[in-house]
Amino acid sequence: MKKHHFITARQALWKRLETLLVKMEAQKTSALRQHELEEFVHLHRIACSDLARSRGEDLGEDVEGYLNMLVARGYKQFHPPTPPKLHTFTDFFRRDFPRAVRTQSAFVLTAALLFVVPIFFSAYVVAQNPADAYAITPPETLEALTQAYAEGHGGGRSEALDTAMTGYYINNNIGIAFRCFATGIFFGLGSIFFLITNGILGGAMGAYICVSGHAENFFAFVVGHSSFELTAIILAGATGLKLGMLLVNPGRFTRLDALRHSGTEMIRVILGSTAMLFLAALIEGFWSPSGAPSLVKFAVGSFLWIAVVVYLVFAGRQPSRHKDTIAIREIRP
Amino acid sequence: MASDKSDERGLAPAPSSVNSPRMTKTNDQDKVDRIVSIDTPEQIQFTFELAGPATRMMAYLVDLGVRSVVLAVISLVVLIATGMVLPDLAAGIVLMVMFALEWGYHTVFEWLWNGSTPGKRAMGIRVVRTNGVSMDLTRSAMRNLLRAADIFPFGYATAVLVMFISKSDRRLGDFAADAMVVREEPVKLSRLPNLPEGALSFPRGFASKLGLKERDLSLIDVFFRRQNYFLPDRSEELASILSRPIAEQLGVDSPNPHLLLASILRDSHDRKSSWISPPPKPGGNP
Repeated sequence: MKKHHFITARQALWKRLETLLVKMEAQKTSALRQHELEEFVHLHRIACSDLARSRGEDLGEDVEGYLNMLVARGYKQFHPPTPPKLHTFTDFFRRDFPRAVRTQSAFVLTAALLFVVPIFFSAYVVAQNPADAYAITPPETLEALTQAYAEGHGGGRSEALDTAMTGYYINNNIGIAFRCFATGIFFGLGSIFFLITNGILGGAMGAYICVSGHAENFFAFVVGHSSFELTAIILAGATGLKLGMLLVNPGRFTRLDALRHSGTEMIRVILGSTAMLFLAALIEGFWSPSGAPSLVKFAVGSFLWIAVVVYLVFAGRQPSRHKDTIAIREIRP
Repeated sequence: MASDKSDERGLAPAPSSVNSPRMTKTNDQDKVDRIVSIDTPEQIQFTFELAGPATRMMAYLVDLGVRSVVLAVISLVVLIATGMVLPDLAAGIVLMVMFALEWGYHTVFEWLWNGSTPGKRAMGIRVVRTNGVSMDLTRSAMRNLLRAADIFPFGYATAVLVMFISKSDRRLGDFAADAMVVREEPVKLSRLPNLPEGALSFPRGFASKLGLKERDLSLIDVFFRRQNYFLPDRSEELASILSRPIAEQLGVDSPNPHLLLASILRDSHDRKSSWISPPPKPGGNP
């Protein structure tokens, strides 16, 4: 029977290929020596032609399935994902992240408006009539919040409590940012919704606390981390809006291709804003409630705001000077 | 093998048989089995079988269990280490671990484990890009951050809806990351299927005189390879259907059908054949 002859004739080669594959999958392609690599390439081709043969001769789905598995695994080894290099991380913050943000600056401005206008709107409404805040937040929560700001942070607080609050901020704020982004896939509607509702909520609470007479404590607290936090939420929302726009109007591409082309840029912005929110959580947990005088907090906070804006607008504008780009230049005649 | 001539030349069109090759997306069978095929530079297609919503749900639940256990253990350790003195510190650490597990677990595992997580490994599935190669970090991040959308409004309702609508069983995160989840069970290949012990008293080479075609033999081969799927009664019934014409031709009176089929398979397996050429040497093109 053909099938049996086929298996008898080839099984040793297939087994050898499997051994090499296991080695490559467990470690890396570079784990193989030169002659092993050449052997792998050779055996992979044999497996490919054997797969074609097993189909043409109709040798049964077990032979075909086995060879199919070998070819699929070998194919993967020919196209490994680029391994992360050491300078990937530094390059990300030095140029890739701010550049990715600037490629979608129109969305960033839109998201900023969608976030900031509701803040001022709800702040204005609550400032006119503080009781309106009860419509969106339970009075007890607002009272507790006001109480917290009334006490101020003159005495500072324990590092342990700082850690607890940092953990809470990381969970809560980054979760909000991710939702702001991800729900953008519903044609941008989710991002719009989360930006506006978070704006309204934040504006109402802030205004309520200020109207209660604790404006200085409130602003001294939020000025430090707000630069990172609010910007990051806006960036996440902007990426969500872009995600939605790609689906509403993909331009010359199909919707899937449009997603495919912009995916990396979008993920860069999201990872960058995640890093910003981590920083924000650390500041909010350890610096903002510290006993430093309000004046110092305002100075540091203003500096951070300027730094964030300058970073996003100007970082990475100069041409890259890296070995990979130099190598390309050298190849050219 | 009656059709030895044409078989040896290997030029005759393949007869339609029990093993219909699954080659292109347009086959009717593929619509049921959800086969995706990929072209390689060697001018050959290989196929992936897509994992369905139920399998993926199971994998997710296993991962959820693993995550919960890890969180519980870490919380316990942190509480014992610091909780007595500084409960706030413990709470902060636990919250951060919770965050890392919720948003990082899938991404990190899929990145380091070549598209697999403990749950996926348990269910024999894996994430690959739609062109068949491994996922990289950014794509894994995209796929798993969009869980926030897929989970909307609760219990991955969006994901399930999208998977039912999509032809390729993908959720929103898969679409955005250009990924798909495929079955990847280990395949073992043995030369002969497990055959029942015992022998019938036929001379060597009796099977070649029966005029059985290649497809008849592969039918017997498949019959034995699929024994696990039959109940004993059904297996008996199929064996007697398969063996009846052979038994009539041999003039044997109602032998053990399984043993007859097995000895035919063994006998034709023993025969030499020049059908298969030796493998090409390295360096040349096969």
